[in-house]
Amino acid sequence: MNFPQRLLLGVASVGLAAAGALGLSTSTPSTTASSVTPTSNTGLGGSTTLGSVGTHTGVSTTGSGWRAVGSGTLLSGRTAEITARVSARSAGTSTHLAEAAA
Amino acid sequence: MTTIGDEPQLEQQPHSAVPGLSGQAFEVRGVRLSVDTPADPEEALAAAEAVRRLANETAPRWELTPGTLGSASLRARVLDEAGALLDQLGLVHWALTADGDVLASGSAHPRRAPAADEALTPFFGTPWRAAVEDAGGRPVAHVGLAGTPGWPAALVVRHRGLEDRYRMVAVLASSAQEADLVADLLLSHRSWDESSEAAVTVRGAAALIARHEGIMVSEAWPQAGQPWAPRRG
Repeated sequence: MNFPQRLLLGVASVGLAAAGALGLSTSTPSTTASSVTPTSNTGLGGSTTLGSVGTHTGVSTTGSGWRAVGSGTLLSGRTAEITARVSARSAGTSTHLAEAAA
Repeated sequence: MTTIGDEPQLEQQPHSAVPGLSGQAFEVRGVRLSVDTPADPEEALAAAEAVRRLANETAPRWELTPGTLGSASLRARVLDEAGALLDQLGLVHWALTADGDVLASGSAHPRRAPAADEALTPFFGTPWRAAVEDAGGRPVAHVGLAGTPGWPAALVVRHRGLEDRYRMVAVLASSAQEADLVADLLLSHRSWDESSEAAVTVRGAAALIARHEGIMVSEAWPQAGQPWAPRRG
């Protein structure tokens, strides 16, 4: 397999050295003040209405470790470079793990 | 896409609409794969060719495992192996997709690499911006994927059920296989409580659950557009 020479040069060593120094925060603030329309319809599952759980500030605790968030509070409005979506082929899960758990 | 024999040949065509990114998309055994990178088109094509060959050469092994090549768990394995390959080739900035699953490292907009006489400092730039879409193609969340070589960030979306029983989960994890496993665990729950959130957290993952009643996120799920980075160590 032939690769351009630049691909094989010392980028890896630089990258690995830098990886340990990056240290981006993974923490999430516990509060938010986003103003959200609590009943916006995302259309999931047909005509279901999402975002009605929680408070008008957009976020609430559920007492279970999960946070309920209002629809739209997780959207930044910026253009995404990549998109994660459900594969049309694998509607529903198809792994042996899920089958065993069902 | 043209074909010679059984081997689909790659074409240099933009896969991403984002300026500055070079990308190729192709299909291997029914799995739609894509490779996007801010590298120049020649390097991007070489990277895509490496991923395509990896997928083609290892497909017979996958087909010997339970399930089919198109199954979610095996798609995740393709992504993880392809990501490791790109790391080995010295690529720092890339994003892979396999039928909607995502694995990313580095940045779509990297800062310049340090010169030879400069100290080695991070130059990864801004994390990849990823969108989570529901089954109807509508965006549910935006999240940054702050993966670095050796520690990529994965994002997978799964759903199950119809109408009132519909639920969709999106999982951020340090590998596509881990994200797939967590997503399956969550989909197998009929309710979500402290134990299910703990199952996400203990794996260093973050999860979003969308269902009829609303959207819930685990503690580590970032706010809109904020980056998520895999746990190291």
